[in-house]
Amino acid sequence: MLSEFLQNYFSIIIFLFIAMGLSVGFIFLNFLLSPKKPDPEKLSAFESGFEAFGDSRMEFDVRFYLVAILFIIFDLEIAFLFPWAISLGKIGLLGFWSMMIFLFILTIGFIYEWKKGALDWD
Amino acid sequence: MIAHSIFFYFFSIIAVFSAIMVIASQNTVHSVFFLILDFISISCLFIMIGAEFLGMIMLIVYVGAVAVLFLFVVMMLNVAQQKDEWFKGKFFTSHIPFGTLISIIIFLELIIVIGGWKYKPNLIETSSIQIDNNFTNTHALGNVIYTDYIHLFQLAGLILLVAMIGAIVLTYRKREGVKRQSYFRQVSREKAEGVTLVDVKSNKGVNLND
Repeated sequence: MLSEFLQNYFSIIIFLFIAMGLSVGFIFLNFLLSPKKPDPEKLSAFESGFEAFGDSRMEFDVRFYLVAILFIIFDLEIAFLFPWAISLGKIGLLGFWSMMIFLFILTIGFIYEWKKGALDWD
Repeated sequence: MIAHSIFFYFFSIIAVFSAIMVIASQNTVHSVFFLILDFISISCLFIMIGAEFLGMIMLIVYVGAVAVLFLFVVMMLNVAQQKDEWFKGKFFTSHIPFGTLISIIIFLELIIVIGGWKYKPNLIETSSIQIDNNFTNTHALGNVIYTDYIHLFQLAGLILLVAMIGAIVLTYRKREGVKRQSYFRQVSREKAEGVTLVDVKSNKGVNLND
């Protein structure tokens, strides 16, 4: 029963291997075919340009983190909706209303963050 | 069956290798990428044992959201500066006993879990949850979460609410001196409050302050 179920994933496995082969192949071809003429001048600043003052990897704004956390929470809400939608016919009114209360609780949070302005970028 | 074992070992080797690389890699961003690879291979293993829903949720939540969160945390820290401090000197070695203690505790817990399945083979019959092979496991979850386990489900909703409000309270700062657009005020502006029609007499000019 289990192997029959896994056979449905066969095309995904083929897809996975083609994707891996392509990505590894491109990197390998690039490594193999690219001209390699290292020169210290290639790494220096162009003509009268400045030397870099700091690191090019800037620290991120904390607002990205807030958006990501809010995204995770609604992501989990959606994850709860999948099994509910599938077995809605079986779980009856109680199941329906328990999800409605769940959604209501999260909508309170959504209204809070909207009114607080956490979704505004500037 | 042989293909099953080949794929099992393929994904487990990737999982173990990337788990080792998460802690062995000196570049924090590379560690997070190895963590993502670990999540993906673990979710493939979940799908292989038939826990399809768990594997897909693992992909959506962990790879899609938690890994992004980790990347943001890593990029919010000043990685280049702290890297040298982390891997050299006292700061690095002082974490070793603590980490070892936690690893030993997790290892013992794993022994308890696996030992339970090994030495009590009828563990699955003694648990109160009946496993019915006629359902997919998404169906099986949906049939019980929202009715039999309604209190835990509502508790999950409350925890999500607390997490949302907590994240906003901790990280949200009101920015002063930022000019925002108010779409409602823009759209609801009338001609009367924005436009004044003035008869300009020749050579007199206009004084708008009247």
